[in-house]
Amino acid sequence: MSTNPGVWVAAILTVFVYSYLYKENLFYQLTEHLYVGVAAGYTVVIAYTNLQSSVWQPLTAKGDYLVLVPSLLGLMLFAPFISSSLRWVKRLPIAVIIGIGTALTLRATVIAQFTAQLKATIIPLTSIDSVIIVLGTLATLSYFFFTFRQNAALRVSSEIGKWVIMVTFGAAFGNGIMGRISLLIARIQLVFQEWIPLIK
Amino acid sequence: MKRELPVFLTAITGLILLADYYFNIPALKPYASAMQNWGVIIAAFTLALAAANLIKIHTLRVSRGGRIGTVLPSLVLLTGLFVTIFSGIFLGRSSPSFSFIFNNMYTPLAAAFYAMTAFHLASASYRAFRARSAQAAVLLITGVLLMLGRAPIGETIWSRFPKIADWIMGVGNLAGSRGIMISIAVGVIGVSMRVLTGIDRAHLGAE
Amino acid sequence: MSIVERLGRIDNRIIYTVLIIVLIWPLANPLGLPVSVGANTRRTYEAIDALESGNVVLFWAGYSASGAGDVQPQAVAIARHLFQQGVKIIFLSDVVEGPMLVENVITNIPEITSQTYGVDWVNLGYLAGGENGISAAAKGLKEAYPLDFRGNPTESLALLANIETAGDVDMTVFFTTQNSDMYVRQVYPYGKPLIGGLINTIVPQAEPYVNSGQLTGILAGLRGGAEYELLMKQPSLGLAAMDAQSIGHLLFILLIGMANLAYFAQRNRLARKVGE
Repeated sequence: MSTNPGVWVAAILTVFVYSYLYKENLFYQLTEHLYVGVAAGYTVVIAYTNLQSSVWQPLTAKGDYLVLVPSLLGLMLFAPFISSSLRWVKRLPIAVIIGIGTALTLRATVIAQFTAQLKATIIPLTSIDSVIIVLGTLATLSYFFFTFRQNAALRVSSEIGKWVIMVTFGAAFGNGIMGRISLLIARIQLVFQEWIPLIK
Repeated sequence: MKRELPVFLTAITGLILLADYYFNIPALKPYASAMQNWGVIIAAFTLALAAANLIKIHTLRVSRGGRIGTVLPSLVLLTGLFVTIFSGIFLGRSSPSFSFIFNNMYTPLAAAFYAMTAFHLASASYRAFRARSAQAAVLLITGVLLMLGRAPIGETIWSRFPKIADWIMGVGNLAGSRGIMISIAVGVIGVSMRVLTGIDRAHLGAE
Repeated sequence: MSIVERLGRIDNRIIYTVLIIVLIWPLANPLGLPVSVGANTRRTYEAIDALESGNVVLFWAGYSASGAGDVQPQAVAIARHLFQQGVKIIFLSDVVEGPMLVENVITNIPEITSQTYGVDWVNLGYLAGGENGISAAAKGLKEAYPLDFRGNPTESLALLANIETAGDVDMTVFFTTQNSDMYVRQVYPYGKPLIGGLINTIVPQAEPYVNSGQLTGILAGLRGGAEYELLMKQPSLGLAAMDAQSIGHLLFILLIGMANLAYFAQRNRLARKVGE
């Protein structure tokens, strides 16, 4: 068996987590709460690191007092902890983040996910595969026309689109299973290779 | 004011970033950059929000007392939280204790919880994934062919399985994914305009 | 109820036990099944192989600890390849675990002993804000990161002397367990090759980007990492797990097959009953 205390801790905690598969128990509950606590603590440490870099460094090294504005906005997130009547104050920093995130996503989506993809669909129909790609894409798009009554041609196209979407979901399903198996293999390697050397 | 000011802030920050991108106004560039860096700083504060909420809830639970099964998990959570914060901030991120917590508690537990979905997927595949219709059958067959094509054993059974898997991903899935991606892009553009113009205010929470 | 119908009523705990045994067995007794290399992995390998000594790469460790089992072998393999090519690496992250995963795993590779921190590689750490963080970093690296993860002012790091934006590096590689959309939206516009190391679940959604050329190449999950190790002739965690992956796939196919057999048997029995 391993002589590394870290491996023992990791493996035993892993076994406690999987004890849930038999029946929910106190060991699983304690491990679950430990994970939540450690994860939250780790996130605080990283937040501290970020603020050292983004706020403290510019403030002290460059005298950039403007960083105090977003810092104040960030502190407003904790206003509800002071008083429930200050709950509305939390909306201000959230509004700023939403505004930034929405604008960034909007301006980039138009090109990356709309025009670039439309451009990539306009290909010469020189092979069966290219015909399937073009017609399949158009059929899938036609499936999502929900706001008006579809004529006969659109109904046929929409039906073909459904079949294409099923292939896409099948691919997602297959990949999902593959991904989960990989993750479980890694846990098995921890318990049965690093801890109890059943696997060489 | 309590709802109008946040809507105004959303609109103005969004407008600055959109104008900077589409109109290339030199005078606007420093404001757009500053806005993005402000977003990073505010986001850093949100990281601590979860911890603050957890401390509030679980400290209350411990102080109220009660059954050991209720109090002990909260004590464990708070201990884990404070020990991690102490070792990371006061002892340093490269300290042996912080590295130990990250390598032997945080990472394995995160991986264990996510990997548990493999078991749930196994039981779901067994109990729920029935080919009740032709389209469901297409979904299942596609998934099965992909799994056979991507596993080395599939290649050993029949050398054409990988080519079938490549075709499914590169043609069938491509057509559907691209159609879905373009549809989502149209939706994103619509919802983004609604949020930036204040029509959609769900992000501000209830009155 | 027939035997076939009973196939659809096995207890979950038996299934879980069989799954564990079925994954342990090929790990303990390797089958040595041959692994071929797919087009996506080959394209990725060739793109990185074409880099020259002295080139600089942005390495986005954007995968979480929970998904590390699928993505980390890819990240380690590509980091090793880059260092072996003499390429300088700027590590950064948009997930909280990223910087520690870089410090504790990726930079524990053998090649790191001959590299100098600050000159050959740096770890800038985590930038909060998700897509905004990625955008801010791509737009102005030193502005977004005044300090690196080790507390050094980024202005003082030799590697970053001539690097302002994502357009000043020679390539960006990202590893993610979330989605590839953010990187394509915010980094691809800078015009340099973009390569993605993805967890299996998000690979189908990335195919349109590969087809349109927005992604130069992708690595798909653990299999992608294994194929990359094969091309590098440096077998490691990825290749070691391939036999278990194969048997795991077969088990899932068997479960689906058994369940559907039982379902059709039951449906036929009920249809016959109604007919009577």
